[in-house]
Amino acid sequence: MNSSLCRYAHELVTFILKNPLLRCFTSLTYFSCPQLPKPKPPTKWEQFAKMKGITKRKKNKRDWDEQTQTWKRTYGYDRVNDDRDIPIIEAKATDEPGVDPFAQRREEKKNRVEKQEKNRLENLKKAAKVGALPSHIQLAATALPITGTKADVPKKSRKKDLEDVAGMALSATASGGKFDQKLPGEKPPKNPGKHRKFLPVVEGRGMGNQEKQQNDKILNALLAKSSEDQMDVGKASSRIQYLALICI
Amino acid sequence: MRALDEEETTKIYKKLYNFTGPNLKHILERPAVEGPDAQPSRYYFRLHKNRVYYASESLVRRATAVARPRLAGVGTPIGKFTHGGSFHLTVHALDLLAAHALRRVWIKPDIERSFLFGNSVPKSSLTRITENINANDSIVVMSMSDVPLGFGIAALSAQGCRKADTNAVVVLHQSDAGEYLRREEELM
Repeated sequence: MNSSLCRYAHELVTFILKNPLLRCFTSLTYFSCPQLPKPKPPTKWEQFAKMKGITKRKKNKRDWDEQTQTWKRTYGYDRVNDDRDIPIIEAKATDEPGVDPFAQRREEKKNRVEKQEKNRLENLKKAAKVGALPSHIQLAATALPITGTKADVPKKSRKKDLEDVAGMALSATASGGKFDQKLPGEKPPKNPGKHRKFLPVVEGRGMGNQEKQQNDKILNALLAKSSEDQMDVGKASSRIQYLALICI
Repeated sequence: MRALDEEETTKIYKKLYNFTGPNLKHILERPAVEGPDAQPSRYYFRLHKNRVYYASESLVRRATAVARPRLAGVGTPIGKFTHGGSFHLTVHALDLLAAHALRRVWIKPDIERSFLFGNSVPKSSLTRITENINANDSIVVMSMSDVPLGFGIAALSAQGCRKADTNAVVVLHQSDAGEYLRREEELM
């Protein structure tokens, strides 16, 4: 349905573009047609059906149930011919004693369901190869890494990462790792924690030399950076106008 | 209490420069004649528990005698560093800023109260405004009797103010003297 809509939109656009009377609207309208979705490859069943000539047949919503003599729905709760509703299974000659036929039936159903799921995934994979995944699956696929691909494997830590972490851990003690006992043959950490050094709180007489230097440097940089707007253009221009007036 | 490193000093100077411009030099280099010391010294910025204080040298010296956990403050607080490392000026800096600010705005008495409650200043309440204000400039808000009420950011330039609506916001509120009452706990 999506593809037919796109095709219709495409036809409409080309019609507008080709029609001389409507061409004046082309500058006003905003044309953006998405890429038409690719047709998905036939599923395994579809291939088989085509080969055998099997056509789809419509199922009734309700069917006559012989056992209860009522009309029951064909699927869902309380359905016709439900596997679980069979009360008695007659023993066959080939049956072994001690084998539970009900359990067997359940097993078979489970296997059928699993097989179907496998086939469904195979069909999706085939469609994905061509790039024709249905949109809701495409979204999910791009959001998560696909199991079995490179993206899903947890990344191995590199030597550098391990060294960084080791350095952080070694210096994460109260004394910064200085007095810890080292193992025999252990080398000093490559990335020891940084010791922050601050200027002294009070230094000598008057403002300490280091602090004064630092502050002056920052202050001068700041003043120099914004020295363009020292002159008030408004004031200067009005002053010039006033002077010109006096001269005249 | 410790001296500031380069990054911190740059941040503080930048914020102060927005208000004071070249007068910043005066704030930093004025002689501090307070205290019993014979020779006048200078004012320092000192950091204590993420708050920045502006204190004279004599005061700072004597404050080193107080243990860090017991030291409440030194001199005038001017602002604080947030957890992320940015510096915000607080209302305590008002006196210092008002004395050295380049750009001011004077508001009428009836809107004073509104500003002291933390609201922005509408154009209708302006009586005087410094000529060279541009949009996004830091300015100090004064009452008609030249009492500093707080500071904020100019929403419009001086020319823009003239053309604007009467109810247009002219000054975006940053800090006001009413915070001493409203936000007493947070300020301390």
